[in-house]
Amino acid sequence: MNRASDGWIDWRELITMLIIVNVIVGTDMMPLVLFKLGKNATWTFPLIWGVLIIVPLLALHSLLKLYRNKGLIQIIYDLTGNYLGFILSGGLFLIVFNMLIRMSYNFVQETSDIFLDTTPDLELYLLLVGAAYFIAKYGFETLGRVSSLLFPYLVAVFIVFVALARVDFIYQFLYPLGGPGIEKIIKSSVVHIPLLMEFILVATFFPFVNNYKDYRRGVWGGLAVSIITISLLLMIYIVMFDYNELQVVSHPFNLLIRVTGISRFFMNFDAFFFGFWLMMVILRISFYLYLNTALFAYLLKIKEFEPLLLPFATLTILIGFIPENLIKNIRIFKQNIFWNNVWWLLLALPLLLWAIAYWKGEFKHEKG
Amino acid sequence: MRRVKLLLILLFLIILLTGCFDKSELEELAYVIVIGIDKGEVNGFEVTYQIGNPQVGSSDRVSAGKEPASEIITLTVPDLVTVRDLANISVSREVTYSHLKVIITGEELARSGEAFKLFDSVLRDEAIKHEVMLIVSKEKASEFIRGNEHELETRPHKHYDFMSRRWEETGLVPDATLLRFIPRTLDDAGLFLSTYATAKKGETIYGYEDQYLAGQVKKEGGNPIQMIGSAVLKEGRMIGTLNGEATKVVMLLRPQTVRRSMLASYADPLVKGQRIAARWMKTEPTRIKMNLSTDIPKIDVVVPIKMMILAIDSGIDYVEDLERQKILKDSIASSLERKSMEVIKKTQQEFKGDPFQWYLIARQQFWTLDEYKNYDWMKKYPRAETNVKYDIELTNFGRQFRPFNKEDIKD
Amino acid sequence: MRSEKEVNSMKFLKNMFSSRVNSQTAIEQEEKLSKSLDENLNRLKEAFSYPNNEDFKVRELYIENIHRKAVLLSLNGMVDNDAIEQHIIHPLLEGTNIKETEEVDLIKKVITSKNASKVSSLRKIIDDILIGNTIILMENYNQAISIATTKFSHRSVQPSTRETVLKGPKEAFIESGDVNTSLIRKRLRDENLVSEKIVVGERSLSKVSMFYIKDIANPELVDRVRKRIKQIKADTVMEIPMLEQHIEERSYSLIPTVLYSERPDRAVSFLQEGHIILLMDSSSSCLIVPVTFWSLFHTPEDSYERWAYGNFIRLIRLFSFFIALLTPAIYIAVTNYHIEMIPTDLLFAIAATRERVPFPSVVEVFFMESAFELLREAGIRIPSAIGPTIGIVGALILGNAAVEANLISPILVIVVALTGLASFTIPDNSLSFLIRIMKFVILGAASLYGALGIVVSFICFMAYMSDFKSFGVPFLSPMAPYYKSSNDLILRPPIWKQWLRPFYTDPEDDIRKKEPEGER
Repeated sequence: MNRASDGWIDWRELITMLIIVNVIVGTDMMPLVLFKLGKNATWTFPLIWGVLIIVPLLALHSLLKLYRNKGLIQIIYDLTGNYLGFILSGGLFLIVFNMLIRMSYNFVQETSDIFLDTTPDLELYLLLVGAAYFIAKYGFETLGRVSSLLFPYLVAVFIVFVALARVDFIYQFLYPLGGPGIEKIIKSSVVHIPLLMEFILVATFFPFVNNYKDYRRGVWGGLAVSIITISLLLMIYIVMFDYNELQVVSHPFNLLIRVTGISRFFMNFDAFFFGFWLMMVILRISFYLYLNTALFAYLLKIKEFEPLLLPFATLTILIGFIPENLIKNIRIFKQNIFWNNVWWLLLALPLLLWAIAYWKGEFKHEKG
Repeated sequence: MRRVKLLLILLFLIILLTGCFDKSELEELAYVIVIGIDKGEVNGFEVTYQIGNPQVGSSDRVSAGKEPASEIITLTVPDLVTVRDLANISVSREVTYSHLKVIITGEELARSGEAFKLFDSVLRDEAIKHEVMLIVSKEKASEFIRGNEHELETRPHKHYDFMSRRWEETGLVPDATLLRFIPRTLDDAGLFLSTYATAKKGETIYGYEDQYLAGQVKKEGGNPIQMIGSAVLKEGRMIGTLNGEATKVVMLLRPQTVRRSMLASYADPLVKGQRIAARWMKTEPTRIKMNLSTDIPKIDVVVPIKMMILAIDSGIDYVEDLERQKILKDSIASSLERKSMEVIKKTQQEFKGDPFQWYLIARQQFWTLDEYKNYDWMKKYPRAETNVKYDIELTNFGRQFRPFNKEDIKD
Repeated sequence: MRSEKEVNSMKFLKNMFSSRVNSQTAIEQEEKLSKSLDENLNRLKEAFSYPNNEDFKVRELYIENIHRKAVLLSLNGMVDNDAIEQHIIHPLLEGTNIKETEEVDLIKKVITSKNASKVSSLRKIIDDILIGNTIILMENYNQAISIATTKFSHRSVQPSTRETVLKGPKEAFIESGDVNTSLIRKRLRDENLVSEKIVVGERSLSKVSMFYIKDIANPELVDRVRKRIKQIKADTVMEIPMLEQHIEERSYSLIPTVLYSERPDRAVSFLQEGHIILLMDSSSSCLIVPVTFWSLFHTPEDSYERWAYGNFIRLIRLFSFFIALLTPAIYIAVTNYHIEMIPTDLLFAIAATRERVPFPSVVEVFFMESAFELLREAGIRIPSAIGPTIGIVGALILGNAAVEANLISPILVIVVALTGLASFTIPDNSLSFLIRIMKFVILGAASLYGALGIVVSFICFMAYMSDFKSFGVPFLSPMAPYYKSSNDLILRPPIWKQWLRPFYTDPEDDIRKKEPEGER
């Protein structure tokens, strides 16, 4: 076997991909929703999510270890049978599809609000989703490779960015530490745990990863880095703007990069940071497009799913045109029946699967 | 299949190649450097633009000799954003705020409190940077802008750039930017200080170097504008002014480190009527302790200052004599403390609000936001008992140790 | 030194021969020699259009010792006349030790030339004559003797002109297979260095020598390359740049899959990493397969210079890589879409000069960039005698005069000059083309959508690059996908730490030496 082109990804690519895909959560529209709930203690949200997701992830990983070369959907089918399996996987597919559409819509809106106000949305859609499709078309490993190539630069840019922004930080804005009260923090953060759903859903691609050890390393490492980074980002918003303004500002990240500059000579560096942000956005859309198509294919047990990428990319654009404006979009997002119930579904699913496996005696099987 | 693909690509390209929607060439834009806002005659606002002229002072090749460095126009409009299009009735280029440096509000408008509403539209307009400086002018903003004759820097952006950099150092005015104005106003816990300026000579008074308010300094020649002191804004409405000295004190008492080097003079403790000039720096954050358990907040403030003596008029040797050094230190500290207490009293009684950002420290005393909000710092502050101490460290005595005295000269 | 005339005449001859062969006297592959000397001679004369073809030399001899007539056949200009004289004719005529036996073996006993063999097929004889052998036909024998007497004129080894270094060996490959082999073997005295000869083309006689180190290069890779060369379906593969185009897997791709080098030291260092080198007799360069981005990006100088200096020049080249690719695009994006990024003073300076320029800035940039490419092309095509003029013309007319005439704004001269200068630092010609073409693509995208356009085109380019493979080796490996290697990528470790061979070629023998212990 030629080691050179085996088409698998190892932990480096997995970890960078997960981080890039997930960290964007801290820079899109979501902080607006989160800050309304968490006020100046919003930065604790990601940490809470991180703690809560540990047990389901452990359960999921033990299942993946058990089933070796099977992805999440195959495991669901194996454990719950065709009928229930279809419902569960279908649910996952709808969640991801929903997410993909809202997300791409948000990014298009954000780009157009900030830089290209008169450019029609259709063009931005074509560019962003088109580029995402282009990457996804080359497959999962290219997604991983591009992420791992970009990652060092992104880290460097992020460090520069924080160093530049640091001048204007007022750390006292973090106080009172309790924010709206611990009870409220936990209650409102739990509902938004699906923002970390990549870490569970990436199990769909378990067969694409070199081995279990690489997978485990990638997921746990990615989880740790991205919750810390998101938390740090939210913290930076707070110490920069205070929570009051954040409840009004729709794109805090873009406001932030606008304020950041090097001395009086380069007052504005926003397009520079914006460029790196856009790369991450494209990778995120690409990941979701790929995930979505894969889920659909596995759901219907279609073997070759890469030809389906183009139809799904087109569908994303078409559906994205339905909501009228941003506020409405967020409301749909919030009131969505799916969204309100997704959090427990995501947390419960791995545990449920593990319980079924345990009940069926699959784990004993392994020992014997 | 190949044909379908080709067709799709072509379609894609056709849609994409219609781009260039947001494109604008550099020379097709009018760069507004300064915006002045005044109250209009009926309902709206009078907005004044100072638009920079790229052709003056930028390049030798293209200098347009007779053109002025900037164009100033005033329009009456309902808000700051739509005025951009209206301006095109006389300005030949598309107006952009991307290089806006200063927003000047007339005192009349600032006192009416309507200025804050205007800034809401600023927030929505992404083109405006949050580092934009805020200035309150004593007269109408339009008059101020027209009265500002910056001769050394012909181009207005350079003038305000340099000016703001000096302010960071001298501390005679607060460095008021949009970035800080919005959260502080929204937070409704403290007062916001904005730079106070005028281009008209008022009644001049004579005081020590910093006890002036804009317009009170006796000055001959040069640019007629004077920017010193600050306008005090409470909940977005201007309620009073602080002179240069008070502004400096406010800056000192604020919790964050402000790395400034300021020049100031103090009364000589041993010889009446003589002054000692010093340069001081604040390199460490102010140490503030609070006790909010009782109804009347207790605040202890310690300001660490590093001081460097520059000139001793009386010729008394404060340098080599440690005892005299101590006397000097104590006298400076007590004079600073006295001044600070005066400023605090003024803010408590006259403004009923805290410009020192002590609310940031107060926030640290609470566990949840609700508790903090219920405490209502704005209401509690006027009754607070404050205690200010200056911790002065004489670090340096300039280039010479001891002042010359008469004997030195005689020999 | 071989003059151009000679080259032309040789090509002409070859063409003439091949057309002859193609016409009515085509000789079947299996046709054997007959016992009659005259018959054989006539067949061959006919094949070479004798006597019209004056280069076809026929020398008749009578060998007294065995009382036989013999005929020497060779092509003028391809053989070493001295060698024929000394090693063939002289021994045959004056050799006293030939006994009068029936089955005399001339090869073993008489001919002193180092390389001789017996041939019996007529086709093979013609082929041998065409590669410069001398053929001896004997009376009453149905076999001929083919003696290697090839000698082409070629220039002597000269310093490299395309890949110059300040520190390190200077010599470059020349248009001679033997010399090139000696240049490689001189540096790599290894019994495992194998050179396979593969004949390419359907009718031509070009030979490709494939060099690899048997116990390092991956046999699968060797097979793959060998197969790829054998698959070539072409009349002739004349020169190595054409071979490059024949063996590459994706002809329409912008990215090169083969490295073209004229430096033997470079070839040897690639051999040691498990790559394969291809050489042809007629070309003064070699091909290296497979390649990665890094092999195109590195220069031999990086390794010859000390660690700090080598890395410094690498960083400069990395920087200029991005400058050459992105500067015009960034200029357009910033001046047309992200005006707030420019410091106000600079903005005013640009705006002021732009005010008198009648074109949009995109047109300005395209105009200047094309002018620069024009200049570059002219510089290569121009006869060297009037070369210096081009510099004057370029600098004077395009730079200053265009600004004076308000065709472009002065800052653009800086943008274009910087881009051009940066593109000259790209060591590999193919990579340089890639960047220069991509520069225009990204520039176009930037002029449509500003930073968004740059990002979208750049990330698609990146995805394409990371998916791209050269002979099964991912183009950006060992960085992405990650493989173990000596980390000789953007920066390089000190030479003693480079103990691993890159794994992407999947070498048989992974390590160069033992892992160094401790720090030095």
